[in-house]
Parts: sequence; C-alpha cells; structure tokens
Amino acid sequence: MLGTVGTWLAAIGTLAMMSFAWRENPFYRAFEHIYIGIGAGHATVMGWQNIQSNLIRPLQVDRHFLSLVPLVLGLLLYTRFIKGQAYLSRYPIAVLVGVGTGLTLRGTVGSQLVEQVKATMIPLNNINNIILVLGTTATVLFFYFTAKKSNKAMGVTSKIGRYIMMIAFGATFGNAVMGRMSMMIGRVTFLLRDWLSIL
Amino acid sequence: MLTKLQNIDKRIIYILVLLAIIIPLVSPMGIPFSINATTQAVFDKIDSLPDGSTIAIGIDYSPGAAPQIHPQAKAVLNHLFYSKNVKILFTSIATTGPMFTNQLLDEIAGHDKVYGTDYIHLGYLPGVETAISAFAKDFYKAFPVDETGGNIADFPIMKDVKSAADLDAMLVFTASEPSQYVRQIQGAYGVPLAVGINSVIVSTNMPYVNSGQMFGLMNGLRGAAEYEVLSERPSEATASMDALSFTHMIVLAFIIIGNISWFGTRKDKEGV
Amino acid sequence: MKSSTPVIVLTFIVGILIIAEFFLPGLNLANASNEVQNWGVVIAAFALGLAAVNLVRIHGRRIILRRSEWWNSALLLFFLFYMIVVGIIAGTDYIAYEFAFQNVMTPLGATMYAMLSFWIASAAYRAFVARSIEASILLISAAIVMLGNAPIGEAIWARFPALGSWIMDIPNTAAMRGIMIGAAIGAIALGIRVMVGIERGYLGGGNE
Repeated sequence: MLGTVGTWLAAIGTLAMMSFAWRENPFYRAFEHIYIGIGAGHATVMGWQNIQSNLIRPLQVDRHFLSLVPLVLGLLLYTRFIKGQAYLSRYPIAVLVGVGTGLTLRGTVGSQLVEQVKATMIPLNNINNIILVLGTTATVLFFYFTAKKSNKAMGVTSKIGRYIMMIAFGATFGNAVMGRMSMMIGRVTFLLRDWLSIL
Repeated sequence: MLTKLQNIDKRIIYILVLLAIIIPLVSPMGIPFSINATTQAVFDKIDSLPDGSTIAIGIDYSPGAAPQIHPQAKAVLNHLFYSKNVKILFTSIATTGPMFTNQLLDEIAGHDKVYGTDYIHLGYLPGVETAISAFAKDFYKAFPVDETGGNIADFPIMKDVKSAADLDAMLVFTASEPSQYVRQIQGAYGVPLAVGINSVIVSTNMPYVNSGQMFGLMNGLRGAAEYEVLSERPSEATASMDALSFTHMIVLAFIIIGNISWFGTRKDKEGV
Repeated sequence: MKSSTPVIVLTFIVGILIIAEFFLPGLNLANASNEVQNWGVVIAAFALGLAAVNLVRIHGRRIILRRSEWWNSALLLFFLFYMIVVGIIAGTDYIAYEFAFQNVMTPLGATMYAMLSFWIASAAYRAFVARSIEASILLISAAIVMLGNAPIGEAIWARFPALGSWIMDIPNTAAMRGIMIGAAIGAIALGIRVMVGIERGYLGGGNE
C-alpha cells in the first residue's frame, strides 16, 4: 500500500517537473519549492548527525575538550544573520578556507602538476605519443602565451592548441548527450515500469 | 522549406526525444555493444582482488545523477557481494550518499555477507576534500560511529584498518569532480583508484586514466551496462541501451537538419 | 576587531600547518593537522544548516506578508521542517524519512536534471552548426564520440567505438591534460594569494 502511494507520489512529481518543458506553470513551481525544502531539510539532518558523532560524542565519551573550538567556530557561522556581528562568521570560514587551500596546494603539486607532466614525458616513437605531447604542449602554450601571437611559431602552436581543444570539447559534448539522455531514460523507465507497469 | 526546417518548434524535439526512449523500451531490439577498455580495467582489477582484501567505496551521487551512476554502483556491488570475498567500507562525502548506500544494500540483498564483518557503512562526512583527507588519515577519528550508531572499533572488519594506507583499492561513484580523491587518496597514499562518473565529466578525467592515477573509469549508463555484461548480470542499464541508441540518433538527426537549414539559408542571410 | 588582519592570519596559520605536515614530516605536525582537519569537518557540518536558516528567513517573510504564491513558501517550509523533525527525532533510516527521500526528493531531483536531455537536443539543433573550421572540428568530434557511445553506431560501422575511444584517449587527453596543468598552476597561484591575504574574496560574506 505504502509502496503504491510512494510510486504515485513520485510519478506526480516527475510529471510536474516535466511539465516545465511545455511551459512554466504553478504545478511545476509547487514541486520545485517542495524539492528545495526537502533538500535543505535533508542537508540539515546530515549536518546534525555529524555534529552528534564528530563533536558531541568526542566531548561526552572521550572528554576531548579541543572539540569545543569547532563548536564555537561552527556557532559563529550563524552570526551572519545577526546585524552588526556578521564579521564574526569570517573566523570559521577562515579555518575552512585555510584547510581547503592547504589540502589543495599540497595535493595539486603532486597529482595534477608533477604526475601529469611526467605522463607527458614519453618517447615520440608513434603517432599517438606525438599527438599527446604536441597537443598538451600546444594547449598549455595557448593559455600562457596568448600575448605573443605576433610570433609566427607561437601563432601556429596556438592554432594547434585551439584545434585540439575543439576535439576535446566536441568529445565532452558527445558524452554530455549520453549523460543527459541517460537521465531521461531513467525517468521514463520509472514511469513505464514502476508506475504504469508497462515494461 | 529550409526556413521551416530552421524553425522547428522545440516541443516537437522534446516529444521526439521521449518517443526515442519509449519505443525501444517497450519493444527492445537488443543491439549488441562492445566493452570499453576503461570499464574492462575496472572489472579486471576488482575480479583479481585477492580474498580478504579491503577496499573503500565512496557513494557520492545526488538524485540528479543517480540514473547514470546508481546502476554502475549496483553492478559493481553485485559482482563484489556475489563473486568475491572482499571487505568493503562504504563512505560518503555527499549528503545524499548514505541514503543511496542503504538503497543499494537493500537492492542487492540475498548474499551471504555479514554486516560488520564483510562490510560496513561508515556514513557521511561533510567538508568534501577536507572530509576525504580526514578519513584517509584516520577512519576512527573521522567516523567514530557507523551508520547504525555503533562504535566502529567494535566491528571485526575494522580490526586491521586504520587509514587509507591499509586499503587495497578505492572505488568512487560520484557526480562531482573526482580529482579530490586523486589528490587525497591515490596521490597521498598510493591507493589504486577507479571511478564511476556521469558522462559529462569523463573527458576531463581521461588524463588521470592515461597517467595511471586511475586504474579504470566507468562512463555513465553505458559504463554500467558494460559492467553488467562483464559480470554476466545484465540488468536495467543493459536494457536501456536501445533507448540510448535511439536518442543519439535523434540528436544527430537534428544536428544534420540544423546544418542543412543553416547552409541552405546562408545566402539569404548574406544578401540582407 | 572588524579588521581583516586576524582572519587572514588565521587562514595563513591553518594553511601552513596542513602544508608543513605534508612536506616536512620531521616536524611531527600530524596530530595538530589531523585535529584541525577534523575541526574543518565539524564546521562544514554546522554550515549545512545555513541554507535552512536562510530559507526560513526568506520564505517565512513571504508567508507573513502574503506575497504572491505564498502557499509555495508554506509548502517549502512544511517539507523542510518535516525532514528536520523526522530526521532528528527518528533518524534517517525511519520509514517516514526514507519514504520522503525516495518518493519525493529523488524523483524531483532526477527529473529536474533529466530535463537537460530536452535542452541539449534543442541546443544541438540550433547551435551546432559548422560555421568555421573550429566549429566543424567540434561537430565531427562530437558526432564520432556519440556514434561510439551509442550501440547503434557500432551496428552502422564496427569501428566507431574504437574511433570514439581513440578521440577520448589521445587528442582529448592531450587537451584536457594541457588545461589540467594550466588549472593546477592557476590553483597554486590562487592558493598562495589566499594564504598571504592578497585574495580576499572569501571574506565577502560577513561584511556589514
């Protein structure tokens, strides 16, 4: 019984969202609001559960009093809603940005710079390797030496960079088509199989 | 005629896309398809994991990407739970991840694996890259309790696992950029990493496959179908492949129509 | 204390700690770095409630002032509180919570994104025209990848998947690697600018 109610509810929601393709309408707007509410509610619950396990529990069970620091910082985030005190919310953000920046900096150097450059240091003994090396170099140069287009060699390199990027963007578009069609296939399958029991 | 072709109502396009999905779903043709090397690599690695290995699986997708990624995760879990003896830690850095993990575990029920001994659901950790780095460093500190509320130290599966350094591999099913896992898991601990991602971000992640930083990659719904075929459990993704073919044909047809009408009316435009 | 200096100093200290722990293992900063990263996790958990507070402020006001379609705001707040109350009191594995997630949130979110299939088909028709050499390359590459992805492409010509894979593996990888290296240099530069306080965009939030 509950399963049937759920399927009908999901089907009505699906059709409401799809109705936007015809034109924007009140039915769509109602479900759009429901989606935002439910999504924000779910995020809040997940946050609450983490505060329970990663803050309150270490404080209560392990007597880990350093956890009072993120408790204060976390609460300070909400000062942004208090007129005149909003500047206090910058402190927790500073910690988040500091951790994020530190992690990105130390990870990027190895994973995105050194490893990727290393993977481009390959023998130029076949056409694929030549395209990989030339294409990577030309793309990097395209972004970093745009000012030197007057130089003929740079102009040619820049053109190669542009063409190779067009191949990549085309590939991205081709894959985007597959991804987006897959999402609609998922919804139509739900409507035909679970709701209408046609499949 | 050409001007008409240039002004097709967009709603006609939408209806044709829907028909291209509905018709092959109702009467499937079963067009065969080959296996991409990147999916094969994921399957081969999982299939060759020795008994008793420990892996982590990140379930990080949202409802929007679920039609592409959920079937991938389900195909891999069916393979792992029914054909392998591997210990699995489920983690998530997306708020919706734990709900999908529970759903997956319900959907593949019927295996002989025991919760807490063969697999454990550690739940969600906020902070994205900070979260990955935190749990990679110390599972116990990042996840003091599992999804059921139990102390993770009490579960036998956690006996020999402290950090990412103890993992034999990590698989991530995500709709956002997996490069943070490359930085914090593969880069920092040398853990072999593979991803199941939505199609639109596949091209940006190919350099990681080429460099060996990812041992494999599954591309959206097609990747899921390929994995289902490889593990000899054809299911919903395989059944969707005809619809995928037809919708691609519709898009290609409209690209051709768009070009014919544009080139056909170009002279008129230049004359203006 | 409304000056930006203490905030920038805090960002710098936290960032340097995380970096130093990694590059200078001799300093034994692992415990301190671990602790601060866990603070980051807890602060991020607190941040998850910000959207809810903001929505209550905005939509609460809309209801009180009986703005147009205020009932949509009421619906939003009803579902927001439904999830919060059920989730906190009974837990996320409680049937009433799972019911709402699986039958309301999942289908609505999935359909919202599925609509992109319509837009991309329409965009392919209107904007994907071979107006120049670049556009032609883009178009041909996309068409080959699409024919490689769709099983029907393989039925038309058996080598489409191999050709599609080659595009992905070689020219696509070359360009994306070039962009990745460029982005990495950019990210490092931005990171340093943030750490030393030149880049202050993230401070924008609390300005009053």
